[in-house]
Amino acid sequence: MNSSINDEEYSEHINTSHTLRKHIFLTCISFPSLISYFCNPRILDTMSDVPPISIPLPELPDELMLDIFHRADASTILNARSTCRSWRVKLSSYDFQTTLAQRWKHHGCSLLMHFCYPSSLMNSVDWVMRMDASSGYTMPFHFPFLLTYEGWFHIIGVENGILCIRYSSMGKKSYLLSWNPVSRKSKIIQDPVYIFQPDLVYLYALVYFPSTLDYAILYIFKQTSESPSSSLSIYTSFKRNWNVIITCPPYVVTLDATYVTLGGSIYWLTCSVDDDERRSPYIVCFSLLSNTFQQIFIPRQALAHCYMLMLLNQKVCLASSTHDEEVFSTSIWHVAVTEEEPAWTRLFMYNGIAPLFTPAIFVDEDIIEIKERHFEEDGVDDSHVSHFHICRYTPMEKTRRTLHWVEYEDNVRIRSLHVYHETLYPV
Amino acid sequence: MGSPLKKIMLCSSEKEIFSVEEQVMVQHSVIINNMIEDGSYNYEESKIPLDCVDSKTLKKVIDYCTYHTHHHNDNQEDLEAWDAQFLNVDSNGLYDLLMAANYLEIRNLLDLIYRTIKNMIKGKKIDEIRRILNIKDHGFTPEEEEQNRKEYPHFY
Repeated sequence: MNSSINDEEYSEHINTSHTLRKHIFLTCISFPSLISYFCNPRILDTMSDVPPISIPLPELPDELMLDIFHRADASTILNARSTCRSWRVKLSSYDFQTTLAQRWKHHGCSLLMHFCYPSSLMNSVDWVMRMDASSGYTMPFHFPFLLTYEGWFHIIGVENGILCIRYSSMGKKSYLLSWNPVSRKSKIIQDPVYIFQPDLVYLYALVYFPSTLDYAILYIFKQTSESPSSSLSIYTSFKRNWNVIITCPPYVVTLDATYVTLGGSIYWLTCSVDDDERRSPYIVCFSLLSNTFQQIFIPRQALAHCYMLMLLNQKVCLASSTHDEEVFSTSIWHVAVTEEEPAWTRLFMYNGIAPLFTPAIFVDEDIIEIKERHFEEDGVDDSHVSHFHICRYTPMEKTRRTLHWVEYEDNVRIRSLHVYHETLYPV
Repeated sequence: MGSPLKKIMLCSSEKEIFSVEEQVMVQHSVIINNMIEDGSYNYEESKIPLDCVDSKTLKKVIDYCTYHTHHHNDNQEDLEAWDAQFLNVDSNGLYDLLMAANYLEIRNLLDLIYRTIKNMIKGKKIDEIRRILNIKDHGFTPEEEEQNRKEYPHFY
């Protein structure tokens, strides 16, 4: 088998050098001396920018090889993984993956913004904008599945360069997909809706086990609307099925669809529903390692109009905002979650001008804010304009700069916002 | 840091002795810098034995460090051109240089060689990478190899 491949490759090599020579011949036709220069294959070889490799490199020690691959691009690494078994193991290891991810982090990260039409029956017209978080350049982002007019999707989570998406191509049967856009690997996972057939669909979440390449997808549901408590089912990337079922404590009620994860724990915001007038917000935390829930109350000083959970430098933070018509002011609180009483520290406060609640997310130590404005023109039916102004705020310098500005002549909303770092993590 | 005129002695695997300005090596090699700083080097008597670096390679390494010490203010393009010329060696020479740079912990030379090897395998087909990196036995079963070829047909 090997020899036939080599032959093929050899003939391919001959072909390319023929075409190359033909090309050079055509372009250099008026310089006869150059033709002989370029047509000499030995001279062609020495023109490459790397030294000629007539003989293979002697075997290199692993640590040096790994250092080379830490600098290599994705396709070189994927290629090298297929060269031999020992490299497949080394280039897929946790150590290699995390070092590589750290290195790639220095190149920056992207924001993924899921835009949707709130009132549309055709969900498939939703789209995702990928934007560089430091330059504001936007890039196309294509999912590895097709959507018909009845199709829809929803991004469950983005962690360690892996996207977990729930989608339906035809609008009927739905699937979960874990996908790495860099390695272009994906895995289709059964939607737990078909296993548990709950009355009420609750929510999905993606969490990584700490210091591993393994993830879990959480699914919280209520069997019937009368059930006293919710249930949690867990899918893990090592068992590949939905099997762990835990009965949630009574305070796991209407969880916010957005969440943050850190060190194998996941944090949702929620609030008590018994008293609508004085709703007291709290955080629900679930730890993958101990399979237990924890309820964390927000202290009186941190109470405000609206809240968001964010991650800053591997710390769980709560952004609590108060706003009047034009101005908001947000305090960032760090919550240190321990088994006893959680400790709250106020890190800093910032304010800005925005008419609505502003979705925000930390990138490094900066805050990315998305300000949306909607205008309806008087007298004209269905005339609606949506503005999105995406800016990056640096709290240390108290400066704000615009990353991107976009306007749609329609009623468009942001459905979810994610930070995406490229990695080669497996699905 | 020693004075610029002080010389140190390096001894190759063939026991050939090279005398180099101290500053040149101290600036580039972490190992030699540590040696000088902790005072284990005696200027009167010591020579630093580099048993795993042969004379030819050691001469090149010293060339590299000397050039980069004296020309560090040159513009980037000239330095890169010089580096490219410097690394115009065969695979064995490149390997020897890499091992020497690793042994002496010469960070920028290591980086340069890493980049060069990375470029050697960048965009190459799998069989070619195997040839360049000298992988004779890939250890895959025929089924796995078949699977690889199916998964990444464009890499073969």
